Amino acid sequence: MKKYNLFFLLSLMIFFASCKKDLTDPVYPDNDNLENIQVPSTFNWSTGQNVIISIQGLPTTIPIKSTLSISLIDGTVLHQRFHAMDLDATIEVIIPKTETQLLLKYGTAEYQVAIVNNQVTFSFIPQIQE
Amino acid sequence: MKNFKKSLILPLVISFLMMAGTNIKAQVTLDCESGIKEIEVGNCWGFGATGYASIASYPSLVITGSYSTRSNSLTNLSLSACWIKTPWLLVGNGNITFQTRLDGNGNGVSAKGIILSYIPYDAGASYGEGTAVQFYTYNFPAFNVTTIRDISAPIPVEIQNSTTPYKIWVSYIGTGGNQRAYSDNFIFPGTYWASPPACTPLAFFQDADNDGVADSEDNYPNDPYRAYNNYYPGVSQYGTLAFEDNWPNKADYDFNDIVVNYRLNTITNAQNNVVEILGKFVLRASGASFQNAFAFQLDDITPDKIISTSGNSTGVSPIFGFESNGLESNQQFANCIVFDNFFNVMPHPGSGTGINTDKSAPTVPYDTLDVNLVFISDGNPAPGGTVTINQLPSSSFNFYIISNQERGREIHLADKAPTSLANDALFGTGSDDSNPGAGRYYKTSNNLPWGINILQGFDYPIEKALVNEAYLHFIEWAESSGILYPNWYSNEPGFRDDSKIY
Repeated sequence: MKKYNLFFLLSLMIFFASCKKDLTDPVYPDNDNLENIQVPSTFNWSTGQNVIISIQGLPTTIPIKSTLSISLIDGTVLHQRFHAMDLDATIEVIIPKTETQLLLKYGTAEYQVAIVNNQVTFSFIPQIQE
Repeated sequence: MKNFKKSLILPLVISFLMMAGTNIKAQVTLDCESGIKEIEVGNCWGFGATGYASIASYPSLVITGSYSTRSNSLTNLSLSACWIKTPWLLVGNGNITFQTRLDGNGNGVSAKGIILSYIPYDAGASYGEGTAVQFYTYNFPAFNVTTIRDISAPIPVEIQNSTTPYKIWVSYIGTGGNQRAYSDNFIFPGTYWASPPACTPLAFFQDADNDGVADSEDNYPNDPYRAYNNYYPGVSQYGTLAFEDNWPNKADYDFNDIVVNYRLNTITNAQNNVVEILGKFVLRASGASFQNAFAFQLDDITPDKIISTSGNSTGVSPIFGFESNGLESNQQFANCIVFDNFFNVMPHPGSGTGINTDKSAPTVPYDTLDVNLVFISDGNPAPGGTVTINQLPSSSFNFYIISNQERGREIHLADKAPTSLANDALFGTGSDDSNPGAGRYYKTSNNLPWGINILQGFDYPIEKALVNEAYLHFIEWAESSGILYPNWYSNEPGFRDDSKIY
């Protein structure tokens, strides 16, 4: 009988304790979890990344000027300029951090270029496979 | 100028005019003195099993200057074994000339020679190269001497003064032995007619507005004052800015006090100067009782670079002053107030704390503001002069809100600098841990922000729902500096709790 009484008493306490919590604690956000996280001080809180594209020009036989465009791989154009091929250029774009490559077009030529440490380097001087 | 239709060819026209004025006969040369074969290849020369030899390595064989070409051993009669190929030319008349020598190696019994061919343009062929036609052969009289030979090959009558492009193909052939050929001082009568880097023949193109940009590449082919669209984050993409408005005090991190979608198009001309900015701002939610404003600064761009501002929603709030060009007064850099009070643009639905953050309250349709900043009007820049596209990258757009009609209480994205009108006294108070001297702004002591920028768009949390409870990988994303779960905002299985997202 004692066991039953104790069980009954405990059940009653749990029941009322639960009721009290439900009735007196409106749902306020508990942001302790978020406030206690350790975020690197350099994090920019953006899903984007700043990418610097450094372009090396090619000394050309004749003046060559055409449209230089920077796009995402899916073709989304981000930046365009009228560019003399013999000039160097530095271009900054902000793109989704999930992107690892960019598409560089000059006239009718297209190049896929890799993003490494938020940098892209490209040269109009071709690399020759001997 | 509009609708002035004409055909132009690449700036080669300038070369023609110069040649006409000075009566210089057109010719294309290769003297190898760049010393970098890659530069020649970039200019559409071709080399097969033939490189550059320097005088440092081959002092007795380089023909003139510091470099000559050097073939592999001439042991093959195929024209494709060792060769040099010109870029596309409009061939002239006269003789193709160059100098050549063998390396004097006496091994084996050899026969060595050079064959010249011309290659017509054939758009359907690989590299546009039609069938080669041989027109000149030279046989070295002796293979074991290094005597310099002067080659002079008449251009065939059928391609003289051509109006269609050709390449000239110089092939080195031989049998036996292992002798190599060195060559230098190539002169090809004619006009360079290649278009690097694709190396197709130069082509006529249409340029209706005569701004120098081909119609096929010009986003505004009939407007001489505009050439290119430059979108951020993309032509068919909106980014989302989500702010907490309680700075410098503790935020509740539902990131819905101001939620605005944005898409910016920076339009430039053929000189790469900014003509105008078209900003599309979609007001989505304000889960706040504060009457907040939203603005952006163009970092490092002074207000006198802008002629006019239009399309924004201002004039109600008394806390903002404006210059005649529509930008905010007393600012070092250009500041555009997009709206001076969210509630003036989107009405409160009558119930709930804010707008579009409480699912039990009526939804208010989004409102879009098309904001236009003009830098150049009909070709005329603002009094402060022009701004190049390089001076205005996407990172120059410094978005912020002004909290509850208190002008100095600006809230920017993390580490974005405040404007001239921010109240510096607020830095370091409340939960803010800014350190202006170190360029640290709008972060708590453990680097939490009051604003986030999601380039791909963002379904924001409902009122009082923590962003990390709505998005289950938000914390991993933040703690990893964006490396883990870079797509935390997406609607993938296990990524979010839809009950906490509006």
